[in-house]
Amino acid sequence: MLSTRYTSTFKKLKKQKRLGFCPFAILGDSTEEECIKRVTAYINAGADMLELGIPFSDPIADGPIVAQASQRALDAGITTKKCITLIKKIRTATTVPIGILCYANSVHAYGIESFYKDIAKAGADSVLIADCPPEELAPFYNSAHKNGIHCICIVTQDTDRKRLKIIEKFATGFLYVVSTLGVTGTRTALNPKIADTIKFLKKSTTLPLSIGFGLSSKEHLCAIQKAGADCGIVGSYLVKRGSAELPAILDKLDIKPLD
Amino acid sequence: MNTTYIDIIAEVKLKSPSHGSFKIPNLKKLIISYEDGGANMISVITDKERFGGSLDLLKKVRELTSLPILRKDFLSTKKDMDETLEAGATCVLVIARDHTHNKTLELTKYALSIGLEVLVELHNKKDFSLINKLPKEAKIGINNRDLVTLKTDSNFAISFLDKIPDDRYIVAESGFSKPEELATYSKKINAALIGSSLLTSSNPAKLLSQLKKTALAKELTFARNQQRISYFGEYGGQFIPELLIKPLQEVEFAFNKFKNDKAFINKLNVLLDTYAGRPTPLYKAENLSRELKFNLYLKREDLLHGGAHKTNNTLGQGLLADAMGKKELIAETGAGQHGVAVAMIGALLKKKVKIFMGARDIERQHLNVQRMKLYGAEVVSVTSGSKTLKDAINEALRYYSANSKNTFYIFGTAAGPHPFPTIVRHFQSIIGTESREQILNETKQLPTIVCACVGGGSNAIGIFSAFINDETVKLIGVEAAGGASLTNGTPAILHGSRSYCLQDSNGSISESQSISAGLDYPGVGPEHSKLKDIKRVIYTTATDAQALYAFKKLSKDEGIIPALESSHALAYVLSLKGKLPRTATVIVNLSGRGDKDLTTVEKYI
Ligand SMILES: Cc1ncc(COP(=O)(O)O)c(C=O)c1O
Repeated sequence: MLSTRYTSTFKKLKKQKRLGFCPFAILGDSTEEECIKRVTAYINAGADMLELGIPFSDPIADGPIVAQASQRALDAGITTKKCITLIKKIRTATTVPIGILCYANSVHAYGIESFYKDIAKAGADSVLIADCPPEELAPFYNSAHKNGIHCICIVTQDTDRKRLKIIEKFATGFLYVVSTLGVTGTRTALNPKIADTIKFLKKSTTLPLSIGFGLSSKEHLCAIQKAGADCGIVGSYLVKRGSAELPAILDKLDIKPLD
Repeated sequence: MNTTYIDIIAEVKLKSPSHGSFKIPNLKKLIISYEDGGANMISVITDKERFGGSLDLLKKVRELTSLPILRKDFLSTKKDMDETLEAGATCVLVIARDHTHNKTLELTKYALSIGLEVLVELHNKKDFSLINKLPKEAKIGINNRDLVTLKTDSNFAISFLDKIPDDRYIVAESGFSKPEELATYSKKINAALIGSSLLTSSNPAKLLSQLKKTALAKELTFARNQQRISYFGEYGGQFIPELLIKPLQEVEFAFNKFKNDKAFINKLNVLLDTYAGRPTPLYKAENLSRELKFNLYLKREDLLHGGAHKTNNTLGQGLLADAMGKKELIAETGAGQHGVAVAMIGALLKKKVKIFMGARDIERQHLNVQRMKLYGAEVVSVTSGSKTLKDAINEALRYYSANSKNTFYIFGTAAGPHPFPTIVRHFQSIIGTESREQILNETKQLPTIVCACVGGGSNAIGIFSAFINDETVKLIGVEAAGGASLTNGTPAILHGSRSYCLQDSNGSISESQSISAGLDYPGVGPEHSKLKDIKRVIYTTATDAQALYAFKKLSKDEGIIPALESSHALAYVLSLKGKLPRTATVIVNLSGRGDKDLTTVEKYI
């Protein structure tokens, strides 16, 4: 059976009229210890769910901040196997949903079936493969669902009804809505199209909407909250800080429920 | 438990002998309902007499959907296969009972070689004795309707299902109308072809999705799950972020439209001839032939404008970009050869050009950087990762995902995500077409060996493509020993496709190491991976030292300075000295000229 953590978390958020907060970290950045400190800061700041990235040598969907974090972690000797051990450790510290972000070759090299089996055992709830559109998802999807893991799919401002139908054949848990064209990274301004994208999606799907890519301030989070998003994923803006300065930064991102 | 449901091939036919005519008031609506119901492929019967079809019907369907299309008809010649591909089908039916075994095999292999998928339909015991001879890529069709008596007998088919090897993709054809009937096949087949019951249903989409959910598919390996046009056997695909799906679908659509468009072809041919200098000569290297004791011919792509075969591809893709109304061209480059060829075409077509190049390569290939700048291109220095070609591709893909509306990405080799491997092969195949004609004119027979160097694989696939069906011709691909993805690698997913690749046990892509920047790439095009596995091409390697030796040898003995890349192919051929009959002919694709390499070579001498 698929993990139920997302359903209950999004239900709770809806009841509290709160925007979910989902911080992102690269596993093993810059070392395994440093990564645990970072994620602990996230949990202490009240993260509603986590996105954790498995480093890959050629991350084509990532901008410089996350790409460099991945390289740092790889240079420090992280492997997919060690990432899974880290996830297990993080799971002992929290009950919030844990999503994995990775690239197809990491899963392929590990062995598709064993990958999903092992991350399920470690306590993860979902996997988003950044370079795996629905066209290529079938073999991954089969192993994921066999092991109770959600396949998270990406939608963009270009996703129309027809494409959404294709995506929905695989997507469960939530939809990852990329706020802008391009790669991960901080942005000064939020893409103004995001409000329309959210509006269209709310009409067309029952899946919760988590917005990611470029969210870099409290204002950005407030804006997507107003537009109707269920959760905001903050990556590069946090990844570029050391774990020591994180609590202060996270404090500033705290936003109020809608009245 | 495997939860893959069977694939449904939904059929379009205007009438059938058993049913009479079908009412299709709105073809577009029907196709949309097939898509909505989750059809994996559309089958179109083009036989006129009994089924009222035509190739025009297939072409109409092609315009309405991007799903794979199966052409069903009573076909018997290679020309039929060409015509099928041209009409836009992706798969073709070959009915074993209509031919001798040899003929069935010949048609199947031919269709596969031109890029069609093949469904071989088997009826009786005699047909079934073919199974182990059929190429593994061929799908097996079990027809439980006897086309002569028109009776369906599903027990016959079921009795044979267990005898088919596990790795074959099995399609159950005709005879189902109800979910219960299909359920009896659960886990024994991969796909079912459904015709009449969908065509007479008031809600085809609903029926289709119900049918799909009644039967689990037979389990196949990763590879055999992939039955799409973007795959070469188990290699290829479209492993890219969702943001790039739409732009690449647009490129694929435009390519399919313009590759057969008369005006487009004319424009390209005029430029190939008058701007780039095609056809390039096939030169008999007399001095070396005497020494090697066989006949050595060089396909002179080094004489092409720009100094390498790259111009064939950049002219083709450049015109495609122009036809799509794109204002900006981008590209990756390693040695700078592809970057130069794109910058050149950018100048010709008046486009803005951005070339992504690793910071380390910018240092190594200064002359080419200056050439690109002279043509008016911007050279973007890539400082991420290993600062070489693979990182330049990463950066170009990143830029493309933010700027695809106005930008066309001219991929430089027959690798990357679908449709690039297919597009690049198409534009480079002129090397093979010319070579084959030239050698037949000159020697009145096919060559013994055709040899090319392999970086990403574009010059190699370009010359091989014309000879792949000539079973007597040996094809040899030569990799740089320090970048030998096919020889030393394992399948990985890099830059949008699954193919052999140099990687560590964690799946991190390794850095390659070669004196020749154009072969310094840890990946390779997916079609080569398939050709390696089916053993149609033999891949081998040459070391830096062997390539340098060949570089100097051709310069001294023939007065031709070859590119260091091409020198790898020459190095292999030099090693054949005295090992072939005197009458043997060997063609080497001399993919580029070596002026660009003089500073590198100087350092080593
Ligand atoms: C002259 C020449 N030959 C061969 C290659 C290798 O590429 P491919 O394998 O795509 O032909 C290059 C690449 O830069 C080249 O410049």
